[in-house]
Amino acid sequence: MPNSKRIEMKINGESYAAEVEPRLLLVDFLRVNARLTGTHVGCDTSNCGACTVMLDGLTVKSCTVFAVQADGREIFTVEGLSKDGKLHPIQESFRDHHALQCGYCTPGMMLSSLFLLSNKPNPTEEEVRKGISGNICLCTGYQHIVNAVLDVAKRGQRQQKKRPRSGKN
Amino acid sequence: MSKVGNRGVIGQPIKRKEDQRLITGKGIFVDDIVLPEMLHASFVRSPYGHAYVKRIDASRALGLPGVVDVVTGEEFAKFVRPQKAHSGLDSPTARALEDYGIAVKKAIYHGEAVAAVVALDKYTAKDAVELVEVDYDPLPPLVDAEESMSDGAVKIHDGTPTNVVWHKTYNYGDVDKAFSKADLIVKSRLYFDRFMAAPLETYVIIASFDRGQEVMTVYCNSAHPGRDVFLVAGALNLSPNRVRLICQDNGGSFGNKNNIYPYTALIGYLAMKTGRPVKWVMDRNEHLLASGHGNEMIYYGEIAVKKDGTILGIKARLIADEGSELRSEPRGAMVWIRQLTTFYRFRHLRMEVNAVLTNKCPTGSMRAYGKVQHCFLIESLIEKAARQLRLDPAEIRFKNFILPKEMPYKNPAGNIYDGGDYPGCLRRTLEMVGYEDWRKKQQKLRREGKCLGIGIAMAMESQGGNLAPLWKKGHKSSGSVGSAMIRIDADGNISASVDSMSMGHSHQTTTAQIVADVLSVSPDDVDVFAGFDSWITAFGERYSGSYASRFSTVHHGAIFGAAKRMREKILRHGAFLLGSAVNKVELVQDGKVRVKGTKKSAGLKEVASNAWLNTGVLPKDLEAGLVVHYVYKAPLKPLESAELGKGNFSLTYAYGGAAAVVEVDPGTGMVKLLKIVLVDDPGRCINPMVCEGQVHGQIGHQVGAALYERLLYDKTDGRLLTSTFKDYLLPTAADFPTLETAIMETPSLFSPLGARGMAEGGGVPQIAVINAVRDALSPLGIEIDSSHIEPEEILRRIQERTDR
Repeated sequence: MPNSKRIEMKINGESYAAEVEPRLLLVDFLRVNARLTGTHVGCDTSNCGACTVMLDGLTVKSCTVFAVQADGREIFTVEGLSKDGKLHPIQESFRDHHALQCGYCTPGMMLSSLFLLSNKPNPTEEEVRKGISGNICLCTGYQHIVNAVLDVAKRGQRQQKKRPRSGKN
Repeated sequence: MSKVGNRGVIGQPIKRKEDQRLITGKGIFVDDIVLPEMLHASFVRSPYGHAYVKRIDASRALGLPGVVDVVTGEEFAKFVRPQKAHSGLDSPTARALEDYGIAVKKAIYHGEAVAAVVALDKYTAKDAVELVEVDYDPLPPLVDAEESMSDGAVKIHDGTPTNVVWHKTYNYGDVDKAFSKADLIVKSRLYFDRFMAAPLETYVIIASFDRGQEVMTVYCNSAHPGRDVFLVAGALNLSPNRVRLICQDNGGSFGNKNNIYPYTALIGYLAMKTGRPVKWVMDRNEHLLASGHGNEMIYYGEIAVKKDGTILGIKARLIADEGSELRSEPRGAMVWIRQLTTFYRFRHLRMEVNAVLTNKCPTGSMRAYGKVQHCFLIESLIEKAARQLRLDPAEIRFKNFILPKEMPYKNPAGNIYDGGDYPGCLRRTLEMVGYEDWRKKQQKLRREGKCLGIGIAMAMESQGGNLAPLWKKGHKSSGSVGSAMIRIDADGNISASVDSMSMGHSHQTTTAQIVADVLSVSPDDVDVFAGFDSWITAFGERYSGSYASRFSTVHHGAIFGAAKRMREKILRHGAFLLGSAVNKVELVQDGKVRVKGTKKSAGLKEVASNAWLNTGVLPKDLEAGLVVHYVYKAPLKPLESAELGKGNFSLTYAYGGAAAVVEVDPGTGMVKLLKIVLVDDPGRCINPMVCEGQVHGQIGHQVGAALYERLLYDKTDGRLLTSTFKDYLLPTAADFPTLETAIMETPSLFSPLGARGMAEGGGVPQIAVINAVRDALSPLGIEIDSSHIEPEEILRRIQERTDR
């Protein structure tokens, strides 16, 4: 491979290494090299958000990031959301609120929602709408997605209240 | 296992079976499939709207390491038979069309494929596309349908006499007499803008040819796989039973993926030629250029009314811009003609239809196909008549509605409406939006110089279509069949399939609900195949697919019919096992067979095991095993007259009402959607949660059509100007207020479960939004004639008024 470069990254906590062309897109590395096909491609121009993943805790559109840019860094994808067969609250809420129909945008939409909630644990409806406006959904008209995100926030708040405060917090 | 509770699960908002895999990234979309030795294809596409292909030099591309082959349109044309879908149309141009799905001598729209590259990987294939040198001889493109139909226009398909592919006038009642009695005749030239369904997943096809068995296996995300089996078989000279077409998870269609078939044949040929599986993933730019667009129309409409708002008749001349090939068209126009009177009681109309080719992407199915265009025409004419008569837009509609007590109602074209409460739907819409309050607010805001608009609209949408008589001479009726299979294995596990795959529709869930209801089990106990496989699942010939909102009519009928037959089988085997007569046993909780009035019973597993494995003891007249394949046909009568276009063309006529409130900023032309309400009547909900989601989807798509999504061609060079999501704008969550929707359930008088199709809704939100913009701008004397409006256009119109 001309100018190929060896890269290594952690995806959902596991190490992946490969020899790649510098032009290989991160989304192709995830889907083709790592065979993690939960991340989807919708537009190739970073408008639709179907390819959203987290790179060192920040959401990125993996169709416009090169795999080499993720060398040595940590990626988080939809496949990392549930642990030991237990769904993440955002997954539960998407299911409970019928926030997905065809499911193609859903992985990216959940990751953008999580990122929004990590910055704004108690958002208003308007803030949720703005927060997920980098992700397109053609099935739902967004209402059930907005409801799902608001409900995760509400559930999170209740959890916070229940949890005894530790000294550090 | 959670039990939702046996009988009575129809109508319950149970959670979806589809979700677990989709929220964990375990769905299997076509691009997720990798076959051994698979190659990757990519297309070279015309940068011109209209140009002869003079020469293709693939030598540089073939020299690139990793490139396996380059196939030109001319080569395809030698081995792939063209689609001649329109031999039944009474038109020399339509009959002459040969659609190869790729340019052979001439490229006739921007983005049309001219050659295909096959390579070891996707990146190399894309590189090689850039290295294929094509010499073009450009011609002036025809992007205006009226120009294209003029006598002197260049012919888009060489050797055809005209670019008009279909022309017909339909007369119902006595329209001239009706117009002679009018107090007012309102005329309008209206325009329905070109947009499309742009699902996030583009077209993806994998074709694999087994040279030993001569079987073509195609994995694709078609929405109409039954038809595609036959089209691909015909194109590649295979018998249809040797084409195995498989669809699984599908990233949305909204009609768009009905138009995938020309590519399926091309990729199939590449697999045959190379002897290896070939994958093709369309990119977004290609999808916007060359998948399938929605119908674009120009109308010259006239409505005759009395002073009190009574509608007497409508006349319209329609010019349907079909793009460069006929794919689904002109079915859209054929459908809309039948329902032009929609909810209203007038009986006189004349429709002249002209289907015209232009140098644009072929049009095809799209959500509310054919219906949104006709509803836009009639609702626009009514809106304008109301304004001129100084009547409230709600009042004029109430004045003309067909009433519930008149159901079933036969419209002038012979369509028989299957029930409904049209005035009730509009009343509910007005209440939900707070119509009176907004009107008061509007008066106050207008005094402050603000442009607030309130728009209402009603739209109708037919399901279970019966167009064959218009399409194919000698066919009395067709199109209205659905097919379902149920199998219960020897352990009592229930599996079902239906020839309608979910593309977000939730058919796995709702199918399980219907089966569970009939078999007295939990939906959790019914496994439903996630897609379609022409070798394995229910297959209803060329009709199999998810289009025209058929699920609620013919597929409900198929599933319900199959489940009832299975119930009979279970009862017969149960009765035999229990040593009882069939009429003395009943099906109770968990699919158990019980002798009536006793505690004597046999579980489903026991019955199934006996039916499959203990066959030696079964009596002669008791068929072994538990398998049912049922084909449902809609109870539609042959047409009264195919020639005159009279007869009932659909089993059900779904409808909805919408209201929108917008504020237009006269300084920027921006339209802010403040409120949107939609009331939909699907007759009977199998799953209300799913129904609500589908109705929300209607709003999402059609608000986009009104305010954001537009396919705009450059008039001089025929290039599509909106060819990425940077220019073809889709609405985001931030563009909507909280959606407010309601479901009315006025059962259909004719469908198997009382349900009507939903999720298409005739495009009612789009029309309501446009009517709201019209209302907002009416004090300025500005008329909006198009189905899509953008800020710069509004600003230009305001500027014109102030300059005057």
